[in-house]
Amino acid sequence: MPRPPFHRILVVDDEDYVRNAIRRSLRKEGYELFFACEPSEGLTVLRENKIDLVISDHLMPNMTGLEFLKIVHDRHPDCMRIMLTGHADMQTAIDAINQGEIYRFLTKPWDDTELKVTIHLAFEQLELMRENRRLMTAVRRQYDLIKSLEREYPGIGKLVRDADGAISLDRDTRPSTPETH
Amino acid sequence: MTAAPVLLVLQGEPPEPLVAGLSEAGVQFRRVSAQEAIRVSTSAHLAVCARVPAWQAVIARVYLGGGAAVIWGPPVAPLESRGLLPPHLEAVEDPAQLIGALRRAKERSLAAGNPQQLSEKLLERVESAERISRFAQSIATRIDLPDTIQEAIRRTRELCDSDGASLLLVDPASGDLFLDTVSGPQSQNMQSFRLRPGQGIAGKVAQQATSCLVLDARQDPDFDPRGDAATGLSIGSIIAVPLLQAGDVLGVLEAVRAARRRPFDPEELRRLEDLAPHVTIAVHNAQTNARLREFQLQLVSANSDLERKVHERTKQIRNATVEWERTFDAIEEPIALQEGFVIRRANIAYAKEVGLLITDVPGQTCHKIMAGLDSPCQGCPLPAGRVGELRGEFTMKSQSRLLLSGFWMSPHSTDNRVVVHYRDVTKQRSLEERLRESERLAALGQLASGAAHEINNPLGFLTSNLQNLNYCLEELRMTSSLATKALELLRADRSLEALKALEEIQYLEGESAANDGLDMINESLEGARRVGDIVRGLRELSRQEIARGEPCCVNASVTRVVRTEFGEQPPNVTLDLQAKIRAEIQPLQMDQVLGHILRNARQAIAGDQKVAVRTWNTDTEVIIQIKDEGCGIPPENLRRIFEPFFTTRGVGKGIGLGLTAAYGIIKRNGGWIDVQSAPGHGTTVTVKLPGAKPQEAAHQRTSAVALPL
Repeated sequence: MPRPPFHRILVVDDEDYVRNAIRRSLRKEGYELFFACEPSEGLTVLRENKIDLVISDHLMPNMTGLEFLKIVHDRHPDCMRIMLTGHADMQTAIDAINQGEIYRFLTKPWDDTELKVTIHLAFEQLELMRENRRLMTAVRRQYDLIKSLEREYPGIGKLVRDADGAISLDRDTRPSTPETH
Repeated sequence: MTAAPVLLVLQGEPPEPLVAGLSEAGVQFRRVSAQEAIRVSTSAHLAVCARVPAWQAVIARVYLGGGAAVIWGPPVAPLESRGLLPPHLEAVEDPAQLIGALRRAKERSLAAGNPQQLSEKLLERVESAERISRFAQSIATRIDLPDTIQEAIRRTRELCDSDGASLLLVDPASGDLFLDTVSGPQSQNMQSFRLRPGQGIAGKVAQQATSCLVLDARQDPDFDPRGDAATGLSIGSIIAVPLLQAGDVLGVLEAVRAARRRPFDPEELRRLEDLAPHVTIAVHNAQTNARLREFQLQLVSANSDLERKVHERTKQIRNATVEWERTFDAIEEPIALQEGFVIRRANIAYAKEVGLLITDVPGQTCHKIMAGLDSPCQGCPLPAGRVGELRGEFTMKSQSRLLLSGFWMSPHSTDNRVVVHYRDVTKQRSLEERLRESERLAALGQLASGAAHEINNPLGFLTSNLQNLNYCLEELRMTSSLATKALELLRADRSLEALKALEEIQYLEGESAANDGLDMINESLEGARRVGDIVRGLRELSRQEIARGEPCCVNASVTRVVRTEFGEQPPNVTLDLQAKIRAEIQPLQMDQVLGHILRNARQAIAGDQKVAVRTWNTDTEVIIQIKDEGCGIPPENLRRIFEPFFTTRGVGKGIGLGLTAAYGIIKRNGGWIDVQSAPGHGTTVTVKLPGAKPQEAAHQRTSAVALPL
């Protein structure tokens, strides 16, 4: 699948060095990177930019990562969410998955390769979803077209076959065909 | 005076004044014994008679012989002068009056008539006296009160020749007179007869305690005619005498004579008066006797009542004993009554606990059968006497833990009986132990989870950086090899190819990789340092031992730590160090605690805001107060300041273990810490620590004075 250039990633973490490390790890992956040191700043970035993926810490000042990702889910449903935290207790993970509907739950310390692969897979899924949505839209558009044609030319959408199974193109037989109604 | 000498009947020698007095008057006298006087005094003699035995007989004889006598001695009582004795018997004690008295006696004797008449009169009196004596005897031998009264009435009628007689008794409660027994015709009608004091003849006699002779009752205003009608007699004359008992009027003895007969004469009254004392004594005796019998009856009834009650009580006590025994046996916890360590009684649970028969328990000692020891258990509260409460916890032979509580039987310290109650707390103690264990584990878990987060963060960028460093190094290596290659190509004069290689180097951006690498190394080193800090903080937190050593001079510690945190002579710190005793804490720990608190204060203040440190002490505590004018702590954070890993400082600036550690140290040393704060109003931290023993105070003071600040 062809990857559109510059997928946009937002990293929210209150620790400078963590943001630096992620910046370096992802620098050569061909993404456009955004950073925020706390959730409210992250929400501002989300409003002003079309972000495809959010990677968030959990324990941060003023708001937890879980609360933040829930807001992201509500306001930007088309955005993938990954949690990256050192506070790896079971309850946080369960809540993040059930309430924040996150794509992955990663723990600190993380493996750079795993992080990259996860991001890559997330974008694949995102693209699939977008493709799906795009196809669905096309199908609906075509269906609407057929419906309007049918209204204009009743019976045009119906396929009439004769006794041999061949498609009959005889216009005169059309009104007597029971299938038209 | 006759020629016959005056007879002196005296006890012993006649007194000198008497003899002198007689001699002076020229009176002849002769000393005689009583017998001799009776014998010789047939012709008229004058006699001076002392109260020798039979003195009454001597005087009676002298008068019978036509003589006269005076008594030598104290005055004669009226009662004595009755009976056989003549009226107006004079008694003298003064010899000067003796002659006059003798003359008066002789004159009266002569005036009384001839001796013959007097003799008859006297004989009559003797006869009467004999009768009275006989009657008295007959009355006195009665025991019953009605019997006695009957007899007294019968004898009164006989003695006074009366038609009726009555004996009225005084009711001690009201003072009324009432008839106990009446004699005479129609006497039944008189049963309910009562007289108020002063009412009627008898009432008057009782009230005035004097005898009374009424010649004609019908003309006397005091007479109560009720008695007249009731007895059926037409009463004429009445004589009545009071029955006197030690000054009290016991009753009235009355005799009546019908109107048709002659009235009573004084002689008859005298007879009645003579009988009265005997009746009094007899009635009194009978009354006493009756009362005594009544008492006896009461006593017998009371006795049987008492016996019945004792029986009942015994039964109740026996019941109560059984009830209490059953009650104590029903209690499933061991209970014993002990005298000191020796068991007197115990319940079944006790016997079961020690594995003995209930009958074998009394007499044993508690430490022997409960704990299996020959001497009292260690920590036993019993030997301490009544100091403190009787409580203790012991491990028994059966390995169970028993909680003992004792109650003294009585508040007196001489009574060493005590009720001892045991409660099995084995299960409770093990549950508590498990609870403590799980609490410890929970706290440990919380700590571990906090620690994990704090460590995982730096660890996260550490590992990431190391992986990235790999790429940087790879790029630098490639740069280096391309450079080498370019150099070789240049040497071989293949400059076009060399240029291509150098272009490749440019593409690799080796310089930025190297810069990145340096950043990563620096950040990683910082991360590693933080992990180290956290581990050190945790170790400090988990150090559980209470280091006992030299007590700490808090003033010196404050000075030291202020210098470390704020520098020499800080302008924004004021010290007021008044503590006069040392605190029970190691100086190093004190420094740690103060370090954490003062560091917070330093970071809270800005500009020219100040920090004030005060120390002072009470008898038992040392108090340190650190007050800053800084930003203060919001309430939601104030609650959490002692929580491990709670910090409001930025990431990497504080690990949130400082106050936690300070709290731990203060608690372990038996101290107390309190933080008061509000945003914008600064923060006050107060630390209280137990003071050191007073004997170390002097040393403390000198060292406090020696401080540089």
